[in-house]
Amino acid sequence: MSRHFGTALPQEANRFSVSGDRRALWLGPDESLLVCADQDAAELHRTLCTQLKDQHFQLTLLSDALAVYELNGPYVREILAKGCALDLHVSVFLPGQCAQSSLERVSVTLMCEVENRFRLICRTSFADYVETWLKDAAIEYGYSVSNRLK
Amino acid sequence: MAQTKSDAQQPQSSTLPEQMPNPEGRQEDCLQINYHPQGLMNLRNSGGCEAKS
Repeated sequence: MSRHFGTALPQEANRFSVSGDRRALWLGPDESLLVCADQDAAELHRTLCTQLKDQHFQLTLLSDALAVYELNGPYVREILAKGCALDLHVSVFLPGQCAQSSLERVSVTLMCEVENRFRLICRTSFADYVETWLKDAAIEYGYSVSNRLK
Repeated sequence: MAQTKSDAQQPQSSTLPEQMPNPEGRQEDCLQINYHPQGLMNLRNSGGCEAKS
């Protein structure tokens, strides 16, 4: 897998591995989420399907189904904690960890990239709600939105 | 149409602007929200186990 994708699948629960712009997230004992540059996804999907054809696997493209937000700021943990039951304390949710949870009733996957930078993955159909919720939760600290989902 | 409890709990902020300055002027405290287009794939792998026939 690492030969074709660039990074191995994480063996430890709720971790993700990184190589350049690629991420492999542990979602379950037999389930992973692969993240790559948007323009590479279709070709990578074909390559992996070819290379894994002798194995028992299922690889599904989800680029249109899921939206990814990058959240950056010194109070990002406090803001996310307003709607998420995970313990997001800096000593608990460490860089390289990921977890599936809910953010104000929306299913999300959170990835801690570095101490104050997270990636949030949610269904595209909930993206507008999530973005609105994030803005609402961040009012007391201030916020700025760039590169909105169109 | 009557508003449901669920509707009533939605953030009432659909008109929030794209930028909100920090109330105390500390712009470094602001949250940056950046939609990040990515390619995503879900991989299910039995780890080499043969499928039962």
